[in-house]
Amino acid sequence: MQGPVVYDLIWNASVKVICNEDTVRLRNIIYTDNISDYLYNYRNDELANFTSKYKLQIVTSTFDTIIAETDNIPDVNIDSLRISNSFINIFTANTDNANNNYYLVRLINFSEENKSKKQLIFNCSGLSSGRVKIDFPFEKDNSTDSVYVNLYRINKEAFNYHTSLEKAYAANHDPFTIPCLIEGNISNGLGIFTCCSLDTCILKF
Amino acid sequence: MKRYTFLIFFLLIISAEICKGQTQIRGYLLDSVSLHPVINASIIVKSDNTFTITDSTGYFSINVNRFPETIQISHVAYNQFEYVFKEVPESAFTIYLSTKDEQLETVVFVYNREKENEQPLKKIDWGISEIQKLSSGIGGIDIIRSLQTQPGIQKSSEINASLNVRGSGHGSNKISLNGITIFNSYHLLGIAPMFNSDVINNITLYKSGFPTDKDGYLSSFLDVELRKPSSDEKNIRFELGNLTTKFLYESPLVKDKVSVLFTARYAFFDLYGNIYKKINEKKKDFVPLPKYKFYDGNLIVNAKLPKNYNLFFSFFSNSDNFLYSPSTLDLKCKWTNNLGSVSISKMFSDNLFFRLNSGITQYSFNGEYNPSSIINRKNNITGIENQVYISYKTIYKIDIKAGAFINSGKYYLKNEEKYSYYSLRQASFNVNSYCFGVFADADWKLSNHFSLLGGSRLNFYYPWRKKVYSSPRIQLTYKGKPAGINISFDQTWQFNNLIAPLGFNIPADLWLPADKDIPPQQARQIAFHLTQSIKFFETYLGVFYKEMKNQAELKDGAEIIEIAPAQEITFGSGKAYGIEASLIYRKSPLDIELYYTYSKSIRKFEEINNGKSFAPVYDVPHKLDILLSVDITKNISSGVSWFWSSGPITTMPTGYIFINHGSETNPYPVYTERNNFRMPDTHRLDVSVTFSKTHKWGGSQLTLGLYNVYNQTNAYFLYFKLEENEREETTVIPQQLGIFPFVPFFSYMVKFKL
Repeated sequence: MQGPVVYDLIWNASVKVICNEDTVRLRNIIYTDNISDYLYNYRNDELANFTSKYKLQIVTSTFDTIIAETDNIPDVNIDSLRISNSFINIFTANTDNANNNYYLVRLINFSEENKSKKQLIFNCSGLSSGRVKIDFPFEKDNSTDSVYVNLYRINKEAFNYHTSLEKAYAANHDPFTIPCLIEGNISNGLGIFTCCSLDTCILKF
Repeated sequence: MKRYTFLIFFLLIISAEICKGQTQIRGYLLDSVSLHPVINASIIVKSDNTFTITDSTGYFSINVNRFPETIQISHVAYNQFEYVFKEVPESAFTIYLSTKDEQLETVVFVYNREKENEQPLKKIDWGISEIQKLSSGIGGIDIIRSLQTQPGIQKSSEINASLNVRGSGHGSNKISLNGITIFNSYHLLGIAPMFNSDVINNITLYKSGFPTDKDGYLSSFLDVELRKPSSDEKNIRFELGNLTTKFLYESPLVKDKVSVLFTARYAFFDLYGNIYKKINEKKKDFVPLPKYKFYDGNLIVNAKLPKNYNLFFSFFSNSDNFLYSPSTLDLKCKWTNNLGSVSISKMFSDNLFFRLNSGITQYSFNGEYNPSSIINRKNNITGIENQVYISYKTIYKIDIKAGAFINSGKYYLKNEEKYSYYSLRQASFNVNSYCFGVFADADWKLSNHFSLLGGSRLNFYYPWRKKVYSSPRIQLTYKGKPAGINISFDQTWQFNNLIAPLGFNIPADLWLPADKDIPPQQARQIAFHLTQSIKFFETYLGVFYKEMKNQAELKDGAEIIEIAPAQEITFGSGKAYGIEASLIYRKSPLDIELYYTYSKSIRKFEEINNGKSFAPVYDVPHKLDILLSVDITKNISSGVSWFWSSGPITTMPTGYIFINHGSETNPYPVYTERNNFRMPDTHRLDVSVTFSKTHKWGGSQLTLGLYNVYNQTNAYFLYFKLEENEREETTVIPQQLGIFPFVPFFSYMVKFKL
């Protein structure tokens, strides 16, 4: 395998999300999210939140069909933040369902001298429901006066997807990492269709 | 450069021939009971009083002007012996001397190729003299690396220090030290030899035709027998190489009755890491070398007890430490082996032999891997092994061997993922296993040429279903001149699994015992061997076919952290078949050996590759080894080895996908199938020269060598590099990693007689 690799966005696909009896079609809008900097090319803000399950259906202009399904996920709240030694301690609460006790934490430093983003995922499914503390490694420098802390609650499928991405990437650089398939829940495709809930706090120093 | 090197080698051979104006007689003197070399024995040619003495390996060579000629051999501890040579011996021979206390007849074994046919090549058997003549590598004489050159034995990659015998993984081989299993005594990437060759008396590797006292593993049995300490003189030996240093002390405690031997070995690879760091640490993007060191030691006591019983005690211990801490991760490992064994034996008569063997073996691994969260693994195994063995030669041309055994194993595993103070996930188990049973076989000499061996071993294993695991063995042997044939059928069981997902053995490989979720492995093998000796040539042809059940592999995406390991493993079947051949030429002073193996190994698992058959990581279809050794003079010998083999199997991505992570978009490899790609073929040339000298105070030996003479890069890892050009197009470029470039090596050994 040698040659150029092309990153190609799909346009003109029919992208629908079905929740309860409703079907919502996502519009083809390309944009970058201000906070996460993620690139999106389909969006709709009218999705219902009072449903237990979402289904995804994508049909491309060449009639390739992709389907997926995911469960809704409870809200997440950052109860408090604290700095201790070389960590930012994030206090939140686990749910009763262990499948929803996975977290993705993104730390964004907007200072001009040290603009950076760092992201880690955490598996707290082994901990009981109730208050949990997540320790995010952080080294403060003199130019930083505040950081944005984004706490996402993700499900087990999304967690497995992220870890498999890390392993697949590492397997191409490290002979001691076993190559692994990228996990996902897309039928007829690679990737992940999942819900997450988000809470954001600003930590000022 | 290559032509110049060849010319020098050619001149060396020519000059050796020119020097051979007189005829040389070469041989070894060994003790008939201990098989220990007889050192400083005097050899005299009676007609002209030409004189020489044996060296530290019992070896001597002496010039003779005419035949027949009488050679007289004398030593203060042995009966004087004279032998008449009627003609020039074709090659080196061995004389077993009896001590003045023993009334045994001195035996002369003339190294005659026809005698090799008494045991067609179903096993590899190297005594102390063969071991000492093995080519010296970077870390010294390496038995495992030397066995990898033999037919039927593969290695899956350049950094694989283990044995893959007839299409099976390295966890299918039982390696035992004086009869007691040693689980993982490999040193990192096989840089240094597994064992200190100074204490080894004999090694035997069975590939098929297994005796009934051998079971519990599927593929092969490597018996490493330690030598007895000298019973009449003290010796101190010290050796320094560019990677390891060794020390040996042996002495009689009670002359001719009790003797002791102690060795220690230490590897100092981290010295090179420190030097590298001092030179390069100020450079941009400096990444330190890993820190690695190990040490090992042996303590051996041999005692002749009353009523002709013999007691042999040995203790072995080794410890390896590895640390790698570049900026992005922290990897620390420590693994240790401790093994103690006691053996009591007695030859009741010429026909009846008894041995009781008992020992404890303990293996421990503790590793910590810290890319973001801390992953800690502890894997401990403690085994107790006991075996009684009796062999009896009846008057009806039937040799009977029988015995019983009781073994226990305690397996402990704990995997834990921690983040800061949290134990996020963990899995552990603690299993006690027991295996006991009996074995017996009878070897019936049907005629002068044919013999039939039949027997079985009955294993009872807990915890598994209550059933008898029988291991029947059948062999038909034809011994003729100049050819010999052996056909064998073996069934073997293995009551543990080594989960080794990478293509090479690492200490973090996981040992799991058979239990209610993990069935015992089973193998059945049919093998055919043919040997032939004509004049200076020996030829060998072997064919085998093997089927295996209950082979274990990790499932796709397995993580042996969160849940019980048995749930991360899937089971399937395997088969292997192949052809082995060798051609050996021996005429003093030159030995040339060619070994070729074709071997195919296949696995089939419902949960891997959608049930399609695939090759395991140790499938290496072709392997060719060429070994040359020449005794240039009495004190100078040289060795050359070259090998070529098919490349190892690996898993390569079949494509890339781009995933957006905020402000950057990264390509990620897409793996769809396991073991879908074969790396480029591997080959390498090594040479060494050894200079030996005897002094009044003992002896010395200097070995100089070149590893990987033409600097071949043999890939052990392939990866893809993505580069962006000025048009912002991303191109995928394959890259490979090799391990050892051209490396000169040396070792210097001095031995003192006290």
